[in-house]
Amino acid sequence: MSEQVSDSTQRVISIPELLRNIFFSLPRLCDTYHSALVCRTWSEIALDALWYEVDDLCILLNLLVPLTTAGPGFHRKFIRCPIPEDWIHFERYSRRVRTLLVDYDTPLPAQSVFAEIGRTRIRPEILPNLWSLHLFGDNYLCAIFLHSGIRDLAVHLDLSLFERVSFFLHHARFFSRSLVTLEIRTGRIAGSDPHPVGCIATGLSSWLLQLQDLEELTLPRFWNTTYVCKVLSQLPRLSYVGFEYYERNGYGNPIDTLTFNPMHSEADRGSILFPSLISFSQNAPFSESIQFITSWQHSSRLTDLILESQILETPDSFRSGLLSIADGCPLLSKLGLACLITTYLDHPGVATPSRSRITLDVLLPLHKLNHLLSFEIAHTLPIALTDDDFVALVKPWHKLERLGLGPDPYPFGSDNYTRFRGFGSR
Amino acid sequence: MAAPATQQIKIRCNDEKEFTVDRDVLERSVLIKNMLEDVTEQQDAPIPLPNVSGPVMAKVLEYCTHHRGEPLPSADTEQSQDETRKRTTDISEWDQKFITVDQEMLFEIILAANYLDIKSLLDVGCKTVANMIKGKTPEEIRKLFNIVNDFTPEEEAQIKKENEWAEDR
Repeated sequence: MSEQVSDSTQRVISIPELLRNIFFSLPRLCDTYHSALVCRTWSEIALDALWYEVDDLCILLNLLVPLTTAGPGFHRKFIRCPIPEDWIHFERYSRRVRTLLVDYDTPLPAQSVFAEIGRTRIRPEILPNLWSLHLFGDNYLCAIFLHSGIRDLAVHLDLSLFERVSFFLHHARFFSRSLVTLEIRTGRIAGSDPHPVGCIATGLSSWLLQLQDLEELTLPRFWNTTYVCKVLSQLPRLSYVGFEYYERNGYGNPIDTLTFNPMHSEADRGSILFPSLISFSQNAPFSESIQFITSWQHSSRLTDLILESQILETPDSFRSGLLSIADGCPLLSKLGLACLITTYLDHPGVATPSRSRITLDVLLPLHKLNHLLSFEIAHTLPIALTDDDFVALVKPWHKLERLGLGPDPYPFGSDNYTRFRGFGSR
Repeated sequence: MAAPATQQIKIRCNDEKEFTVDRDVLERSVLIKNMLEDVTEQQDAPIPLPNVSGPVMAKVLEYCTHHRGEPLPSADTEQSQDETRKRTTDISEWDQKFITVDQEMLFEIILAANYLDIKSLLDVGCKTVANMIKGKTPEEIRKLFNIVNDFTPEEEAQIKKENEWAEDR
């Protein structure tokens, strides 16, 4: 241990920016905690690092007013109602919290805690500097933490709990207007059909329409219906609309997007819709998705396009889709087309399930896309390419970095949607 | 065909030590990069760096030469930097060897990286200090850096009470 330290050491350990960098590098919170106990200068900065991201709401709220001890089958409550002095003391920590994660298995306090917070708080923002809020599981009461400073929100909306979701959407509409990124997840009771997103269409659309700063939106699959998409098309900064295949993201009812026609009128086609969109993913029959893309004024700006169909698409529909995409979206650098279903959905465009396989001829329009770096395709049947076909496909394609030609082995199973997980991920 | 000649830039440290260095190596420093961009005509006079000594600059240049050509981090807001900053003290093998120096040199490198605005080098230095803190008690940290405990007993007790949940995390 050094009794004498150099002048440079003294300078480094007293410059707040450098201490901040050091404390935010510490992987274990116990080391950050120990740093907070070294001296007053270190304490302020180390506590910022310690409370930057909170993943246990009870630990945080216990600093407002002590909570009762946890026990099996009941939620923790305040031992008394908060008073203004409690809130003033609480600000010592609440102002440091930038990210709040309430995960599916995070123990939540009792409902009465949220009610008492709502009734006694001395300012609208409980965590005034919070900018990222992730709410998963049945925790709609955490909507109380929403405020205009939050830029990043991820939320689980379980449509089987309609009233709770409506409560959340109503709250979100007024208190989360500055979002830049939004991820919505959903879930369903095992064995039941997914709820139609139409049951919350009004609340969801009213909320989305407020998000004028929104740049990135991740929805559950089959949630981007005609109605939702028309709302999104009016958001001036929206550059990414996507979905994820992860089980945790859930999915809606495939029937909701069987018809997808956000630009059905002449007025729609003449308007400047989606002025900033460059990355678009959709779950709808190819013919519907591509009709939308090709009728949209700015589709030539798209760089990323992922389309998944919930009906059995024929090789001909893949080919005509690729031809339209190649003509309408010349700047694409990433393209994915997937049709992996094994259950036939009734749709006027498909009379009977096709047994035809995708061949080289279907894929040749890709050569018109000069900027394409990544292409993935997945069909219900394996892609039929010989070695020579493969060479003919990739040889003229100088920029190719990633090529996925269907899942292998043949993806028949109970739920092929989740088998090709990651296909649509960014 | 011969590669185009790289422009050579002269710098002068606070001990009058001078270095002549390829421009792309020096431009790992955002400070120097901005200085060079502000100068429209070619200058022969060395760039003065009054806050860095020759031996420390030699180490900094060793780092910059090794990492030349790598993308520079974008100038993000404080918030997004913190968000993307992983709570890790992992250091690559080369950087680990490079930063294995005595304590005085380590802290001189950190100060130089901070002054010259070389974020990746600053991160390596700060992670190394974080590694020195890891696993130590508050008292051991105070001894290591010769820091005086200026808390009152009541203040220290309160911080312990409100944050002791972190002891096992």
